[in-house]
Amino acid sequence: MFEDASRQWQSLLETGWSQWQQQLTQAMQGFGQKEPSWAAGVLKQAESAQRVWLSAMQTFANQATDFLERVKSPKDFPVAFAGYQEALSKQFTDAASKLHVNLKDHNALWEDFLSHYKAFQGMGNDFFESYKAPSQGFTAPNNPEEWMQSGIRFMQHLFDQAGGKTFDAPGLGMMRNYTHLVGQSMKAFREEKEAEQVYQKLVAKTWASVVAQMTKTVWERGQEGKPITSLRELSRVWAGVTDEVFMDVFKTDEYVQKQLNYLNASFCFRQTKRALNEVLLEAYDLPTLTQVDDLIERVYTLRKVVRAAERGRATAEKEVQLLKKQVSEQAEALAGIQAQLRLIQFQETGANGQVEPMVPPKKRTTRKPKSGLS
Amino acid sequence: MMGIQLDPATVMNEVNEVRQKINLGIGYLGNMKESEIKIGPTPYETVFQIDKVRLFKYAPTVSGKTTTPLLISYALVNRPTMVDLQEDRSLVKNLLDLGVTVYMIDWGYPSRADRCLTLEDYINGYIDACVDHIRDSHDLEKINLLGICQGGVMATCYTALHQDKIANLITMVMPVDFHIEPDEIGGLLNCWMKDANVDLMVDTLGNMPGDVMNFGYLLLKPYALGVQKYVEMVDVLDKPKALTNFMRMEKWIFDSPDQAGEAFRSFNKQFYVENKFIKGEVMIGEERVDLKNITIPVLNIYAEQDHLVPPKSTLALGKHIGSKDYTVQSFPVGHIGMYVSGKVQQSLPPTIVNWLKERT
Repeated sequence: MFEDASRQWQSLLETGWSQWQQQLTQAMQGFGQKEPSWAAGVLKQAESAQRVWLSAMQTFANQATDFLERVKSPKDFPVAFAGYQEALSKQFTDAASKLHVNLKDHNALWEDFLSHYKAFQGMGNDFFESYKAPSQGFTAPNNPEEWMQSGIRFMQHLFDQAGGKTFDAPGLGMMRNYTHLVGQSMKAFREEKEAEQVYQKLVAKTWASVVAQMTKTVWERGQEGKPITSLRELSRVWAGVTDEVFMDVFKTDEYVQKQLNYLNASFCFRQTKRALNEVLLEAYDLPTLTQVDDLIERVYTLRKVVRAAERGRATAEKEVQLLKKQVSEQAEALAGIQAQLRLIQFQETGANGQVEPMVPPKKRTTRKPKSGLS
Repeated sequence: MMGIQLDPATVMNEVNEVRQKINLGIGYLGNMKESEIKIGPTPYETVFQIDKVRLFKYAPTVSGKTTTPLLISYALVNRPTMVDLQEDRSLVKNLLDLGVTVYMIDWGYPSRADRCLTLEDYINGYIDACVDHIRDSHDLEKINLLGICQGGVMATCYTALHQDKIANLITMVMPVDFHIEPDEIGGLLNCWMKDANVDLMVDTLGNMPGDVMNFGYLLLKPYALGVQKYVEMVDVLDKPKALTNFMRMEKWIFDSPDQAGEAFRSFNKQFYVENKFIKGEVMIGEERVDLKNITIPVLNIYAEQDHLVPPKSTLALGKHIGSKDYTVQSFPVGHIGMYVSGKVQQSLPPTIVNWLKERT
């Protein structure tokens, strides 16, 4: 009964989903130019998502059908399921391993490493011309001597272009440094690949758990008499199971550590690439990112100084305004007092009509110039 | 397979239905205009600018019912337009309709040239300048401050340092305890960042690229957000309004500015790695942020299904602030649902406004 049901299901799934995908692909091709550009991007992602879904369902169908065929009665399920889980895990992690470059194969690794520097060659420079890939007949640089030789060849080439016509000798320190940096970058590249493989292996193992868990869910629904009866339902059950399994793994120390190792290794490799690029930029009298960052920092610091000065000036201006206001108020008060005094005096001396000043005139404070220049 | 019983006719119906939906959807998308998916439809005026940071003032829709303006401080992650996504899903518009004068800070798009900006620049520089501008414009001593997610953290730090300028503080979906254990709702982000080598990240990348951050957020629900969402997109292809909403949301999600390197370094080290916020040890420049200094009224709003900022993290605020007037309000949605859920948009703005009115 299992066989019939699963064969029928798989066949329908393949037909139905391939039609779905075909339809979407055709629609994408017919998509006009009027739409906002990101809309096409969203649809492209939708198309990829359908493909991922189809592929996941096919894998699940194959794995689950084989397993469930072997379960003859419900009481056999627990034992059979444990073996199934284990087999899935091995199968998925093996498959993931095949997708990665063999870290022991220096040629493959070196070829892959060089591809990261093709961008420079694309810019019209042949910086890496002397670093040949194995496919170009170069021995994989798995020994320091090869690296030194290629480094020297590279630097001679670079020197001819950058300074050879002007100076008598290449910068020996720069040459050594460069060769050293290539070695460091290759090491960081290998470490990144290692960390990536460890991480991907765990992800593959998690996918195996998803398939196993989905099989179990489907089995249980069958036992409960609540079978999945539509593609939509199947899709939602699959999505629920997938994220639940991933969540459980994501929380583990093992996952967190492997993810961090992968991230850190990637950053370290990126730093070595930057260091290499900067040597080349300097050789061609081009500003490096480090130099640009230094300038940014200086501008930032100066801007802060200017802002602080502006704030200081604004505060001082406010204080001056306040003082001016106070002076003005005091002057007004003084004028009032003087007026009152005049009034009092007028009242006191009003008989003869003569007004004497109550306040003695201010002493002259301006100094006389010592010389006769004024 | 007994657990899956697909009837050929049902499957063919589903496939045909999908075909029709795709045909209709492509037609709708082909005719969709840029203006239809515009984010941030509520009219505003840029009233102040400092570097790349702009202060928006939204045009009031009713004559002044409240006197104290409200400043919204959004996160540095993604764009603040989430609070004004579209006309019928706009926290800003709903607040305006209730008579609140709304201002919002737009942090802009930091470039490499902004990589040295620190948290101090953001908090004591930009937020403070915006607050002062509003105070001067309205001739007020204090204004109301609403901080969202990371913007809430910054608003809270600001309040702890400059409480003399803030009348009431509202925080929304704000992380407070960064070392909560992950549970069935969320907390993975905290778990992942706790041991992160933030220095290595920033030293390597300069600024933290928005796309890298986005990838991290998608990874929190890898299948649901990366695959299933687009599988299910087919179901809205024949519904123009829902399709436009979907596209608008996609546009917002992937419009992610980079994070200024030094601010990112400081935020992640002090908050995610060392969990200093609840210890009262966060340093903004030379000043220590002590949450006990916050004695003004505080309204803490959280989302019950928030996988980015789990309720446990947000609720820690009550234990650490000095305020005796502390209110908590929750809504049965996720982090983004707070702004896009129609139901929440009916009750959230009045909740805020009534709470503010009671404290005017």
